[in-house]
Amino acid sequence: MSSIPTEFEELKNSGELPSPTGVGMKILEITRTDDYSAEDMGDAIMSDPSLTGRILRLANSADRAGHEAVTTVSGAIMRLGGSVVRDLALAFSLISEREAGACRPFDYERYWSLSLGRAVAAQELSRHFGLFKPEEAYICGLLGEIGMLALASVHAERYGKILLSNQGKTLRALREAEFAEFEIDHATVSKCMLAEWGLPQLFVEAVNQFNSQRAFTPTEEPIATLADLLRLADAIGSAILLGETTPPRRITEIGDQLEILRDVLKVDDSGLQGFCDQVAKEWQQWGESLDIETTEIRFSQVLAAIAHGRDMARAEENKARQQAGPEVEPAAVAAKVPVVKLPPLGATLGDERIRILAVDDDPVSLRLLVRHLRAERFEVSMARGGKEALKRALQEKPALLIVDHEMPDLNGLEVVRALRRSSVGASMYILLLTGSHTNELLVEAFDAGVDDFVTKPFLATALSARIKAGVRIAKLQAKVERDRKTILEQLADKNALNRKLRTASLTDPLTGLPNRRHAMNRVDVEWKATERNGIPFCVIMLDIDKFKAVNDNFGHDVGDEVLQATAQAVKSALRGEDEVCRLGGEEFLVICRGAFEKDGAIVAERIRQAVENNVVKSPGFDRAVTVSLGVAGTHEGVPSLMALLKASDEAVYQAKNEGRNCVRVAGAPLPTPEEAEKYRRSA
Amino acid sequence: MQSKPTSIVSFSKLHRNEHGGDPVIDRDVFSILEELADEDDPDLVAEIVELFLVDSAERMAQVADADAKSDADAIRGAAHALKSSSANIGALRFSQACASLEAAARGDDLDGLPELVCAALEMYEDVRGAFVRASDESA
Repeated sequence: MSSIPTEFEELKNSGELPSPTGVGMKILEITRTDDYSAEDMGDAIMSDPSLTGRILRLANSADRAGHEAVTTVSGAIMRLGGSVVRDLALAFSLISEREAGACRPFDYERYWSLSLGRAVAAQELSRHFGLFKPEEAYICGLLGEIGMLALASVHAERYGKILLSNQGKTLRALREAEFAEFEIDHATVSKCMLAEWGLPQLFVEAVNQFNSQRAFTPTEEPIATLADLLRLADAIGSAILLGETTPPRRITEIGDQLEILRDVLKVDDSGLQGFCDQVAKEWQQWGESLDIETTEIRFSQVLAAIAHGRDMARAEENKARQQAGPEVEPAAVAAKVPVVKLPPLGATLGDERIRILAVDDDPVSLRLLVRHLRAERFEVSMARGGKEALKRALQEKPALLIVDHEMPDLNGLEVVRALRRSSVGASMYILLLTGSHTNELLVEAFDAGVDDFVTKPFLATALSARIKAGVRIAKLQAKVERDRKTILEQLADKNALNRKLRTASLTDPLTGLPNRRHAMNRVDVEWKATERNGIPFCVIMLDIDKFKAVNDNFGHDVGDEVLQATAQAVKSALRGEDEVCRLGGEEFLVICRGAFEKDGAIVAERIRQAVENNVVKSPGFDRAVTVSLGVAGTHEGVPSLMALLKASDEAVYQAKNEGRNCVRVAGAPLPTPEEAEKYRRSA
Repeated sequence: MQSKPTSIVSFSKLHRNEHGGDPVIDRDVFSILEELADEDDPDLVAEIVELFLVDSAERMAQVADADAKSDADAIRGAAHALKSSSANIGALRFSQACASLEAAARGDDLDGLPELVCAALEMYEDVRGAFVRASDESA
């Protein structure tokens, strides 16, 4: 298994990645180990009737005719295999949890429509070629571009901008833009998510290859083959969803891929049409079942639209070629090009004109030099002596310095040496003007840091040539400097992003548990679900008894270990759907979805026992701690989420007051000894 | 830098005022200067001549002073500067005289110096005279 990139970890830490919830999450928990029991999984699936229906539907689809219809989840597991049913359940639970998200340019509805089209097409193709299991192909198709959904979910605004600026561009351009912005692209994100969910390595790698490029790969290796199958399926799915906004380039691409499909299916156009119509029909039926938007499609019309779109694209291409001029032999073109006057040398460095400092103690030479430089459109300043030159160079930071050697106060080489020692002067291009150049002077000058020479009196053309070379170097220098700045800025950006991710993180770094932020988000979601659908849930607030004494007597390191150990003990006592979060300090909150108060009380008692029996060993510390727990559940008497949390908090307080290491249920009378015993046994 | 000269010097005027032998002001060099003066820089030639006259007067004074003190190094510095500025305006003979003076001063050939200084001064007067007459006429 390849290592998980830190960029993906960062996405994950945002807590915004699409993830299976409810039954999907439960199934993920159950099947985390290799030796999970099929019955447990079957039970979990059956707790969700719509999921059960969808899985039975797939188990009974198309080519299973002739077989006896499967009517139970365990029958489906028998027929499809446990792992396929598991992955299906995960995939389906992802769709059922979808909501239009904050990334406005991302078309969530269309995303799932296309994913479903790809899934159905992949299933049909798999069946047709007898390659892979059709249900596996279906899962890969459905989750094939999950990384895009993930980026849209985590970085709604920034990904929105990327999508807008890459509209109509290639897949590669999009991935590069993603990478530039997030240092991870949707191919890698998709791959990591599938791996994270424990999908087979074949799926993970095939989805990665599919996301990396649209072109087919001619090998017979299974991963590449499955990736190709996904590409063909994607072409069908994309064809189904062809719209007026589809750019001509993409239409051409889809058209090309469908032609390849026709060839590999070994059919003619009407055969291709028949195959695709079958996919479209199934797509529609699945859409109804999964509550995904679909429309009735006739592939004869789709193929006609593609043909039309390709003609348009071709016409556009021709037009572009004509505008660029006819393709004729270079010689013929050259003959027609008028001789143009060379533009002035004083091109610009970025947006600024190139600045040159000209230095000469002879006013006539200086005046002539400046005349030349201004004619070349440089921005010129001048100095009449070495000291003045040094001062101006440091102030004005010219890109080029042209300095006379022989000057009374500081000579040219002294100026150059001084400049080269400064940060400003280190990157300056320096031309030395000399009346004579003996070998000794040359050696001395290059030693001092001179870049080039011009002899006086200079010829305008020779001077221009030398300056031109200097400008080129100065531009390179400026580019290096700009690049360096950009890199520094990017580093700063990245650090800022990391900081932001950290503060936005939903995980408590000490225990690895979800933190208070996550807990509050989660109870809010549960509360809304209760209001909407009447699904009960309860919260268990718990607090480590006499934790302050642990910190005071054994130090914070031991205190931290106690917190970590308690977190693990609590986790071990939970049901698949329950979640424990660290609220802060020694306070934790357990959220039990779909549980009434009495169920919560059982879980709470189980937690109490788990903690009580968990001996924490640390230098100087060798005993178990205890916790006091307060349970509160949703019912008519609880008017708000705040009231629910307050009730559980008060129950903890009550537990503390009544001797600690016990469970109290909000609003419930003290349990009788028999009741307490009953809870103990059922836990 | 300094006020603009009011006169326009042209090579034709310099040429007319010349008398025999090697020209005091080289025609080719000076015409290059004249070509450089375009709409962007119409006063170039006049400015340069003015700059030369002011600067060279000062330098020649330095040469005379240094000669009186037998300060070879001061002579060398001034002669070097004069060598290049005079070459720029086409005073090639004078420029050569300055070059000889510079070389002699550098080589500490102090015996030959007074003679070379005299020759340079004489030639400088010619150059100065040529420019001054030309500007007077055009004024």
